[in-house]
Amino acid sequence: MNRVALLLATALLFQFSCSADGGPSLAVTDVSVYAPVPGSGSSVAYMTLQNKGNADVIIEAAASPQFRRVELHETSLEDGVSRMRPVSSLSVPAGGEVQLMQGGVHLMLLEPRQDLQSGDTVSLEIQHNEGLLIVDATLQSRFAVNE
Amino acid sequence: MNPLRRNIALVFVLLAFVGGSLLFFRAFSGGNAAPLHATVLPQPVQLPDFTLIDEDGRSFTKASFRGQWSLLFFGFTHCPDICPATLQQLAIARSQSIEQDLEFPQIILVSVDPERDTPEVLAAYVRNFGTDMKGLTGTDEQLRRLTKPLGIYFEKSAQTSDNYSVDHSAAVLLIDQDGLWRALFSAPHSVDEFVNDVPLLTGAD
Repeated sequence: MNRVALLLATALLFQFSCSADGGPSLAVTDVSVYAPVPGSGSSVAYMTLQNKGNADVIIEAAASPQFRRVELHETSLEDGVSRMRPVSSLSVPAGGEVQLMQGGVHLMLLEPRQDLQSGDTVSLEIQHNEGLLIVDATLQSRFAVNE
Repeated sequence: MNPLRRNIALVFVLLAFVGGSLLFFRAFSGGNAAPLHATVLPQPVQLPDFTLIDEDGRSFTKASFRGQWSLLFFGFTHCPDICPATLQQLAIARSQSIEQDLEFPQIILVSVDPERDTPEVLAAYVRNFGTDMKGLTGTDEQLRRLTKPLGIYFEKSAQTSDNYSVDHSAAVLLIDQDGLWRALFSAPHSVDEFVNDVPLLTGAD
């Protein structure tokens, strides 16, 4: 019986791929979220996603109470032409990290539900195969002044 | 010669050597006169005839470039990544240059998304990056009269009916005060490339 429980516990541990200390696998650092530029109706979030677990974590979707839609997009620059395409999912390798950054994969924040200014706080809900990661961030300005 | 006089003489010899070396280096490197990032066109290129409208709804033609240097970027307001980042880099470069008492060209965003970028939308958008930044728009045909001869590409990439992106050339073009295309900055961009190269190209240093 103990052996069954042990096997079950091992299987669960494998499935949820917790980090070595038993905490959640996915963590974020270096979060930058920009306030939408008036007229644009959209904005962007960059961050580093770290996977402390022993299995890959798959980012499946994202949402935010402050935006009607949040989509995972990738910008590429090829032969001087910038292209942006939706990304259906993103894998963060076990023990590794993925950077969401300018000119690469990023979270596109669409249709703000309210007037958002730099200094306001927004919440990003990152849906992955192990659960939900909530990231709160203060909006930065795209203005040239005070940069 | 006593030791003190000998040391003073030695210092003078050293100073002369260092000063001479610096002059020699400047003479052969041309100071810092060569642009580090920009591609200077071998011959200035005449802009094609075109008519667009600016963020205030006024007509903007080739003649509107006369009298001041301009930096032209082609983008759209629904672009969350490279467009606002480039305009921010240009705006920061402009404010850094003006702080150093250097003249800096006017910055112009030419929309490649005329469907959504009306003059009103552009006005709200460009003013975030500086009160004197301009935004130009027009019909697809009017825009292509300017972009095609310059080799600037743009094409709508449909995702869903109400949500699309626009693929576009991400270069920044430098136009002189006579309306001639003089140089090209290729993406990815940085504040430093504009701060360093623009004054060299416009003769503002």
